Amino acid sequence: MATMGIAEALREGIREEMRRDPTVFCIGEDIGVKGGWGGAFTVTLGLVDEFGPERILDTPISESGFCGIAIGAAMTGMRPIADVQYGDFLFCMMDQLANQAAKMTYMAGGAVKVPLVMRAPVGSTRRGAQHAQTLEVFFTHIPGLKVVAPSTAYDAKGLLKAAVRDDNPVLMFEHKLLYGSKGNRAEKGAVSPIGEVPDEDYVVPIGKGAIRRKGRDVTIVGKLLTVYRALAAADRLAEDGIEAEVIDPRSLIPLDKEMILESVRKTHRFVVVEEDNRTHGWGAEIAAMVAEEAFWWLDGPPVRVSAPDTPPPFAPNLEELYVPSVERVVDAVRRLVG
Amino acid sequence: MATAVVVPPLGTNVDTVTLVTWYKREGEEVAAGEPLFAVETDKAVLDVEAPASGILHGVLAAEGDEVAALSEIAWLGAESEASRGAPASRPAESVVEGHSVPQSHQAVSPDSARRFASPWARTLARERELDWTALAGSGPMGAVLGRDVEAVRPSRRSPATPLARRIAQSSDADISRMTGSGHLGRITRADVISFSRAGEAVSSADGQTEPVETFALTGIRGRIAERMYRGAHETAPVTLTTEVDATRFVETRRRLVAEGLRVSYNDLLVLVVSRALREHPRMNVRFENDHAMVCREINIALAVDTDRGLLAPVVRGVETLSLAEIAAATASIIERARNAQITPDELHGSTFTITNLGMFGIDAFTPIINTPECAILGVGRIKPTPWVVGDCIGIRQAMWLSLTFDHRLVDGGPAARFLQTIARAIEAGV
Amino acid sequence: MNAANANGLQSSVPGEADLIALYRTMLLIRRFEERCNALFLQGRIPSTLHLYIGQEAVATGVCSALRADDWVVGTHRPHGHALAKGVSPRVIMAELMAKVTGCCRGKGGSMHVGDVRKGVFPAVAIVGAGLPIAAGAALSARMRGTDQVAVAFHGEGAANEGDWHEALNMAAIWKLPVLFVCENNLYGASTHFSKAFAIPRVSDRACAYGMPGETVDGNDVVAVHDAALRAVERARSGAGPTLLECLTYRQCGHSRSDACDYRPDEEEALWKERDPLKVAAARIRALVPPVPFDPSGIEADVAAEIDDAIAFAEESPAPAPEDLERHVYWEGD
Repeated sequence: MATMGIAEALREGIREEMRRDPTVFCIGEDIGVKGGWGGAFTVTLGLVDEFGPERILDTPISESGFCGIAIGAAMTGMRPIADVQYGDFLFCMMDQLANQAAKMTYMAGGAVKVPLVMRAPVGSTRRGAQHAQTLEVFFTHIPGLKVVAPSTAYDAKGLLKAAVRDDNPVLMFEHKLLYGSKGNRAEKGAVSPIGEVPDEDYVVPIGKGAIRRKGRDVTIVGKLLTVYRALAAADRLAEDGIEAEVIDPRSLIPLDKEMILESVRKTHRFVVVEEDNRTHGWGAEIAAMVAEEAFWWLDGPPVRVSAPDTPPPFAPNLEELYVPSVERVVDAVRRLVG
Repeated sequence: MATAVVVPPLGTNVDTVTLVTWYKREGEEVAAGEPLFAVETDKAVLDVEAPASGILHGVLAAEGDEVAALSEIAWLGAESEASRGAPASRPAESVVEGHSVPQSHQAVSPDSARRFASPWARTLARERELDWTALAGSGPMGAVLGRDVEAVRPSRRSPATPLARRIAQSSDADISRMTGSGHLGRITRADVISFSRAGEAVSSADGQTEPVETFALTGIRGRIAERMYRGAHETAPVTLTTEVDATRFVETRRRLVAEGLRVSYNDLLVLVVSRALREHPRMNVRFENDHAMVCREINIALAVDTDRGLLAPVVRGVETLSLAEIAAATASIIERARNAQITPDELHGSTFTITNLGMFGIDAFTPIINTPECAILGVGRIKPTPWVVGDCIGIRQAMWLSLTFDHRLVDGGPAARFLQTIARAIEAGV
Repeated sequence: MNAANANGLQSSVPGEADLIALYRTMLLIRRFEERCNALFLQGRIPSTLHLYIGQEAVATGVCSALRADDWVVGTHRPHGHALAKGVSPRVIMAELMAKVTGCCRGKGGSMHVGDVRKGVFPAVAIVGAGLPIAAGAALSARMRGTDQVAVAFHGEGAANEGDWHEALNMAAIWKLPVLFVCENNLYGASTHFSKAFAIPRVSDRACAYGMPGETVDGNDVVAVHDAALRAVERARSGAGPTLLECLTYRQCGHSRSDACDYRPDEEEALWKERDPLKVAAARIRALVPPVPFDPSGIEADVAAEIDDAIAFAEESPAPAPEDLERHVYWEGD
């Protein structure tokens, strides 16, 4: 058992999987350069020393191309772990992810598999419109992809290992403020979900959510950073005697619907907190699911606390308005509970 | 101009009252001076008149709610004012996430007869065979919420299909103890059958008993719960027990009473314990902010069973008090604790606690430390017991002492020596 | 089922039997596509078709230079690639007729036919997207320590997609065992080559990425085979990728709905004169010493094979309703 942040937990997860299975390799930009950064957020730092440049494969700046290469390798017996420096660049490889990786198994009638992992950092971090988006929902809408979003070090390692062993393309979204990176790669304003991570082999099954806090008055669902916003809000609400149950789905696809529905049937109130843009967002889907499947248990409307329908702004004061704050969550819950 | 409907400060020493009845519904017209609602104080039920004429809007409290004095629970205004600002206490709408209901008071005004109920309220009302439209709603726009139905009919009547009811009746099965697997939890024929089968298999051992009463961990109960939980989970408690010969102790009290000093065993125990604490200052401790503070002043709390629950009023500066003064002090605080006149100050600052269950026939027990103290003494009943005295067996007045201490702060040896000091004093008759 | 291909010729001077086998494969593709067209007109094949008629020499020549365990990534016009690499006409026809016995269980359709057991990926119908995937298969072969080679077929239109350039560049940097086969049929849908390229040859771009580029007569199966064989040998030896441009012509429209009004009649007539089947037959007839060559016997043989495929497909059931939600994720081997 060691204490570490998400970046380190991912690194250890990758290291263990690469030791366990020779078909596992990493592919991406600036991931294995000696004296470099180990990817944009240190996750692959030092791995090239153990596994060499053949298995920690640096690519030119060709997102679509290396994504396609990873897909081709995955279809022919390898298990690539690819990553982009910023999730925003996933749009550059959208065809490869949405048309190729996601659909290959279906359009082959189940005859091929694509065991690909694609890691992507997301979240607003003073980088403005093209390096700070929250992108999960673009991919949760594509059948054939699995999507995970770990918010703790334990989950990061466990979900990474589960993703590597999964025979489907898995997108893993990581929040830049949650990496817990140290030194000059550390992020301003980061919260550190540092936690204990077992040394022994374990996986966090894809599709199982986690109840981060028990409560009876309202169910709050968040992911990545907003899990922490929801937890802080729950602390504050508890001072008023409002006990919030906080659920972190961890896997967005497949989603642990039953965990959310069971909670709503108990609390009768539902709030989803997301850093996504509001309209047609992830929260909209979760809220619709709750409205549809737990309608008769609801004592108020399902409520979304989201980012507004704007690109992520640069100005720090605007960014603070953009990302749902603890206050906004508290406020939404108070009005719902009445 | 909207006029706020405010809860009048009617109670003398309470700051909340219970709203009993609304005489007007949301959207109904009321004239100034007409009775608008009724509240129950600790003394009586009182009508409250409308402060102005107008339409009743924005009802925030339902019948049965505890409402704070001076809080705004509705407002009166013209029909056109239905959308005017909510009471100031209501948080302002945020641009982004406001759910639409509170913003749309205007939606109700064209048809103020329209009533709303949440899905959950409708579910409960259907289950409990209740007409929700007859209920007062505590939600936005006076919407009936789940809690409003609960308030009117808390006992859960199991929804069941007619067939399931008939089968249950004929087989004498209690439908209220069944769990429904049908739509919205309705009990179906299959549920009755599987319930009966399970009953045959495991007799009546099921956990589905209906509570006759439910209560929340709030108020005094909440404070007790919190302190007990902390004492049990945030300390390293160890309990030492010893049986002492209290014959002389009993005689001492009898003598003192005969001499006209009305002392209780508790008063004597306070004296004995305070002397022992002086001898073992490390037991007279408050543990705060990760530091154990050894206190000079000896403040002994006495656990008192009251109608409202367990209270532990404190006798302060015991080391400076005579037995008579101790007796006077304990009599006073115990009485005030039982009559609910105790002040918060009299419940804080203790350095040690004594809890005596002797009057209930209890011999020994494991008391929970009254944090932030270090230890608590549990006292059992005094009863005649065969006792080895020298080479003979005699009858002595025996008493069990149970000392729970926080092993983080003090070790077993010192704690045992402390208990020994108390035991010897009692055996010596104080 | 005979598809004389994959494992075929290893010599740059195909012998008589080999040439006849190549001819048979090309004829199989030609007749298969013609029958598809007829079935489509009768309403027995749903959806549109991108027919390979006129380009048979490219798939046949390239695949005859491959081993059974080499990989092929086809395009939206994939029937010829699949047939040339040995996929059975039965499962292709069943796929086109949307039957559960099809090579993709009726869930791929014409544009995605493939059969990984024969080394044929489900065809990639997004222009250019197949090149990185083929490069990935090549990378995989090297990492797994096999000497397999991957081929990415693509039209000349794909050479103007970003994926094309990214794939060529990375394959060249890493010297991947991959062959990029550009079937330059002069039209990207309806747009003529000259409106999309400022250079005379697609293969001219190879040098920009540091790999050999070669342009051959794509209607001459022997020329294609010879060039492909050199490129495959180069790839297998670890020397890296090759861009092979095959000049050819789509004898029918881009898809079934295309009347080809944008093409001059003279141009179409010229290319029909250079029909790949005619070129191959002439090559056989020119062999010294002469060999027995019975085109009508081969014709009958091929017709029987296609009849069998159609009968198989027609007798097969459509996918069950529950198939709709299956295979979104991998369900196991």
